[in-house]
Amino acid sequence: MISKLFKRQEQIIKAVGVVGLWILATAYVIHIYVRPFSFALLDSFIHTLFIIGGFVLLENVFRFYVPRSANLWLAFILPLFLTAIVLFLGSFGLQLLLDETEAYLEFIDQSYALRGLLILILFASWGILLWMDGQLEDQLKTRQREAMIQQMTKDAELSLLRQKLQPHFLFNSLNSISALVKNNPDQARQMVIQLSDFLRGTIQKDDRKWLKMEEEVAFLNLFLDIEMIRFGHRLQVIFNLDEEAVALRLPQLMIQPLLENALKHGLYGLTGEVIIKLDISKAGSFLEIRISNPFDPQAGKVKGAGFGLQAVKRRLYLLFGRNDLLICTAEKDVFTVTLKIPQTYDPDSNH
Amino acid sequence: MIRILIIDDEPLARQLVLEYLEDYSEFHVIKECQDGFEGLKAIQEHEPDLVFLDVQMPKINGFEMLELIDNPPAVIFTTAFDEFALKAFDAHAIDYLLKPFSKERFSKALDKFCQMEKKPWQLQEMLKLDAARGQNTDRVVVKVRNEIKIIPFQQIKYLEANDDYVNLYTSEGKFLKNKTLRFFETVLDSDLFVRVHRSYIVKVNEINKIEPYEKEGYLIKLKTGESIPVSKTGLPRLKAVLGY
Repeated sequence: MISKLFKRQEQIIKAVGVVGLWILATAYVIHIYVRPFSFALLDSFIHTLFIIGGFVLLENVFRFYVPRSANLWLAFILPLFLTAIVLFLGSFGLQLLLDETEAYLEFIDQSYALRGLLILILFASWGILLWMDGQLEDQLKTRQREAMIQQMTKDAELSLLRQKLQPHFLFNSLNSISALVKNNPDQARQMVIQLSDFLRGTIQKDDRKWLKMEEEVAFLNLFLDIEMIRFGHRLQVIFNLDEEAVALRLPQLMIQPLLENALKHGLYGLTGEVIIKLDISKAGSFLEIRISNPFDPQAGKVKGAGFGLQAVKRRLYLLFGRNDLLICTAEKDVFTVTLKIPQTYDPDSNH
Repeated sequence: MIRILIIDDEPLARQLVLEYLEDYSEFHVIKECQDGFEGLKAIQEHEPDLVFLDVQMPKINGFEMLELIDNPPAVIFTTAFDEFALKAFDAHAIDYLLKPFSKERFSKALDKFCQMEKKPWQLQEMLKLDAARGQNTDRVVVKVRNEIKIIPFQQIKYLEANDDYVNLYTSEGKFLKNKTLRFFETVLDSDLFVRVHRSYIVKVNEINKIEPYEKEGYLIKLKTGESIPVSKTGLPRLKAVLGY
């Protein structure tokens, strides 16, 4: 607090004024008991100087070490210790300056207890003030830092979860294009454009900006078109979008990872024809997406699968603070995931 | 003439290999297959000289298919991305083609095949590597007469060494697999399966009780009644997993 004072000139003047007044006031009180006034002034001046010194010392100690509540006694021991030093230095200084003036020295001896008490109260109050100030600042900083760290980890995690693109999809699609180039150049070019548009849809944007349903549907169709070029001979997708759901919005890349997961398990878990169903509808205040794929209950699951589901689940938790928005059910040989998006999005705000 | 088989679940991927092969009159494609089941059948029926084999395929992958063949043919793998497999390829395969691959790269693979044809074939060695498979699955594929059976690890009750093979016991019976017990010890979850004997690995959940047997010996009784011996080195391992 004292160090803060030195930053602004008018405050220094004020502080010097206050100290001057204090010296005069205490000198006046002393002079009631013992004369002459000049001695009282000297007494007051010397002690005040030492007390200010003690204040500076205390503040510096507290700046580097703020006692936790467990060892708060330090905040009281220190003022006691300082009081003793000031008393000793004060009387020693006065004895040096006022040798031979016995009446005054006698007064000093008599007033030890009172002086001590007064100085102790001053130091103790100062100590408590500093401690409270430190605590407040500490708490404020910790809270700010915690909030910042939370936001940063949340953002990082969200972008990581969104950008986990399946390399298989990308490289196999490129291989398909390579195969098409010679025999069917037009379709090759079309697939290059579809793949580019799809990739563009997987990057960019933050989670606070929600997509319109038509944008999402266009994006999903790009993905499905590419998969149909690769697997059209055995893949059939039944896509049903309810009219009520057309006006709704959703965060980007929520459905596609689930769809990709369904395609993967259907196409790689089984041989022969695979039918995937995708239903988008409105259910109360939720957007509901239901995706089902056939699977082989006899075969062991392939490790690493289910990452797509986990990532979506985690994102839902980070965005909505809820764990019940993604539900998986396996019935006989059909696996179904149901995704619910609360329609809390307000296009006018940033959140 | 060199007789070739192409196994890949994507028609366009097969088409590309066919197209690249057009310029080589000595290579003749005898058949195309779209999954491991068709592939297995075709290999046994036609005994091709060279197979182009995709890794990620429906139901069983390329490695799992090869494991089921006693005398596998020469193989060039075609794959999009498989970091486990890549290590194995480097060491033992004729070659591997990372999709998408160029015609030049494809020609190099064919050259390699022509040069290596006389050398001893190392595919079996490759398949023994943990890296080739096992690390990223939790199942095993076996052949029962002419059927292919996929056994998830969780269905295995216990395993028994049988020369160069392993007997897998599930509730459906006994299955023979051309792997060592040592291999299974490394790929099975060590919290669920314990090697209790030189010749046995047991699933902990299947244990009913452990009885003293002869002098200082122990015998595991399974819930389904079978008895399995515990060796001196197996006992502390068993205790560690059971936590006493």
